[in-house]
Amino acid sequence: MKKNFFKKALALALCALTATSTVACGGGGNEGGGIGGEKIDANKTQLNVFHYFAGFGDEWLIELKKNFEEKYANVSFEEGKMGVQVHHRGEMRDFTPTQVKTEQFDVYFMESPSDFLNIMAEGSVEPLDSIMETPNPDDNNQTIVEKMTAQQIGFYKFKDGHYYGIPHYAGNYGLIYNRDLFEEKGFFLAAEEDEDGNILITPENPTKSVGPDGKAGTEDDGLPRTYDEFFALCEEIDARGVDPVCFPGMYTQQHLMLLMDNLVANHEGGEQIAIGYTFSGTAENLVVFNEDGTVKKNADGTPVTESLEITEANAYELARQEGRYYGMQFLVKLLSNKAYYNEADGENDQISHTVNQQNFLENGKLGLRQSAMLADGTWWQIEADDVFNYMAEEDKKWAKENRKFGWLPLPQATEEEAAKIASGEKKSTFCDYLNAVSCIKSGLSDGVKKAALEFLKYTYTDEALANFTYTTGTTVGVEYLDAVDRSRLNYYETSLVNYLEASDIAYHVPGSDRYARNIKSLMPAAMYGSGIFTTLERAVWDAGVTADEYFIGHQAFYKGCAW
Amino acid sequence: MRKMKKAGLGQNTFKSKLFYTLLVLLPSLQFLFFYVFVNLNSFALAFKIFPTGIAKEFEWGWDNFTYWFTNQVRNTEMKLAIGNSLKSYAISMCTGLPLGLFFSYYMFKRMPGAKLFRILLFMPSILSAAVLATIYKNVTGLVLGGANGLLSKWTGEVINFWDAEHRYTSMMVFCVFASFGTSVLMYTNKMDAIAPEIIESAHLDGANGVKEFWYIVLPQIFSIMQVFLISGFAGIFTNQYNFMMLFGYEQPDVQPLGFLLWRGVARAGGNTTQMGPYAALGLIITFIIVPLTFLLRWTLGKIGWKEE
Repeated sequence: MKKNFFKKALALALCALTATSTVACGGGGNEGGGIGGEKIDANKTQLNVFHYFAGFGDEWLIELKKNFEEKYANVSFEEGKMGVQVHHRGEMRDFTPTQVKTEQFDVYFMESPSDFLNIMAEGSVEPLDSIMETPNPDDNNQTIVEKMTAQQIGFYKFKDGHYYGIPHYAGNYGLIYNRDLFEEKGFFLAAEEDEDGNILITPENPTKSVGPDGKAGTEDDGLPRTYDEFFALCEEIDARGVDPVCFPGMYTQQHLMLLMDNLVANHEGGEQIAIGYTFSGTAENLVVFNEDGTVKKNADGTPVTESLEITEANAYELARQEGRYYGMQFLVKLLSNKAYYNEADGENDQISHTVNQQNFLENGKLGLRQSAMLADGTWWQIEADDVFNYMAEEDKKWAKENRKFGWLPLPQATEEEAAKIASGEKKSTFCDYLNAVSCIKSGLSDGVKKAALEFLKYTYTDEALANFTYTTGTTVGVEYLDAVDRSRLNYYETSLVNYLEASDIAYHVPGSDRYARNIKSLMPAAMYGSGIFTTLERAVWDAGVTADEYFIGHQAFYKGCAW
Repeated sequence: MRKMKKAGLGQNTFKSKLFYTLLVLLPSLQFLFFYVFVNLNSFALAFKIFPTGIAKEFEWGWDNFTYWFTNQVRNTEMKLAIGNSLKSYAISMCTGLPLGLFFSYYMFKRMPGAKLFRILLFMPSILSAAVLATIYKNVTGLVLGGANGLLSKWTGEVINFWDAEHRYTSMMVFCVFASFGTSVLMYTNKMDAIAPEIIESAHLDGANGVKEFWYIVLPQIFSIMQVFLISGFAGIFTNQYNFMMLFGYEQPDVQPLGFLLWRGVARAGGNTTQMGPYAALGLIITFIIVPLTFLLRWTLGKIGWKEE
């Protein structure tokens, strides 16, 4: 009897446990709450917004929501309702065309969507024509299309003639330098070597070199113009007890391959990079190989190049781009000498990007060996926000606004290219690899659709775009940067915004059928491989691969991506 | 019998038919959707070509099959992965199987520390594979081989168990260890079911431990061994050998075919236009492995031990 009772009690307990977990699976536990937990105001039109929740955080959306709700407080989109209530939820996820149509969100801010082409083709999203080409009186009569590049329009204006998406935040990896540390230790190149052969400034020789822009008295004075200057600076930094560059061992490939993406773009320029997406045009600088398969070189060691008409059929020849050759040279050189990078972080696969950022920020305070430069994304400050905040609690001098970091203008491979930058003949080029896009789900009721369209229209006003930059310290991939008040940005943000404003921006959006059908193999993080056996860092660290060998292996690898 | 009547089971009534229908409805639907539909879809995907990258604009053809043979890099990657899968299966069988049998017999004979070994060997099945892989990587990397690792202190040099030279061995040691849990549990349970009288009579006939194992125990557990051999062989090209847990996306030189397939589909991120070549590769290996699996089953049935 007792045993029976025990069995029944156990069974009951297990049922209760199952029921509890089932209830938990139900989710949406906010009684009367929206998708973000805010209580629903039934008197207002409800707008559910999804945003990709990663490095850019959600503060920008909270700010956008507040401003939009205030601006449209007295506008009615649905009968019997006044104003709009924006709910938002952030997740790190992707959507299929069906999911876009069926999920609870009305407006999406996606990052690197796997399948936006099909999201457009399947009719999962609403045409945005009414807000794209109509001048907006609240935005100096500008249209959204005017703020986009031809390359972006080419993708987001689908073959049926309608616009379905608008580029949103932009970013890629590069080098962030600790300007405070540079100033403290004098890590700036001198205009002229002193008598002892010092290439860095000293109290006796304080004049900095003119830097990449070729003008004295600007913020880039003393920064390296060429790869050679960069590595010479690294050697000096290392000799003074500081690690020149740090990156996280857990995500080495991601950080370095995308840094490569920017190195390649910075050498090739926007037009040549675009050929890699349209597979159409004349590739100007393709490296020539000798008959034995080695790189053919000029007397000064630079590669011999040729030009070639590129079509979909032979676009694998772009693997020979000189920019790729030099980008690989840069990274192989960086990884081949432990004096150039922070070995403890870079070679430890337990070190994530946030730990790496923490070490970059903290080590000076803790008296540990510091790193002078961080290989990371433009958005790194947001990810490191907690570290900035807790350090600021101890001493205000560690606060984000009181520290100086700078976006390092990437150096050029040769003196010749550096001279072109300095003279203004060539612009630096930055690649946006994120392809973040905003869009509206199709099939919404008239009122909600109107509200959603107004929401996006407002999102792309200069005022809202500038607010995005003030909140995140980063940028949206459309033209508005002249509207950003630099006095509201910290040193790093100013350096980034100024750099991007002065650069050509290339976008990784398909511009040809072949690219579209091989989009996953041709993503920048995937396509700079060499052979199939290893990543760049493993090739260098494990097998001692040289830059030439890596470049030669890249030829077959890139061909294998899509041909 | 009375209980059966009370429950209404076993009677050909409407109620019992309804009960059985409802009972099998959900699993049947699940089977139809998640197996039949999904596989039909992937069969179709293997023959679909998307010239513009748009799912609606497709053509039928063999491009997804030729994809693996027309480019040297992709062909090498596929062949390398197939080689890794075959090698890994052979290692699992040649080391995992005999060791599993040995440990099981050791426990069956209640040798010293048998219960402790049972817990230790079953541990991999209790812990999540991700946790176990992390522990293993840390133990081999930092505790044994790292700068202050035990082996490094002993040998005087830092040993990297995860470099190009050692990583495949490290992976296989982990896989063999992780496989012991289920196999040892199954073998020991089957061994425990052997009638003590049979063992006793063998002893009376003068059989020693080896003969007992060979002539009594092995024939009795051969049906279980057959399950492991056949299911392992059928999954030879889909087994990922914990690759993702140990390496993430990297180190493709030691990737088995199962991981190559998974990586390709995962990278497509729900974009079906990017999955065709992997669907085709799946179909190719199915055509190879299905007849071979039936052949293995037939062979084992012919040459293997019989329980009686």
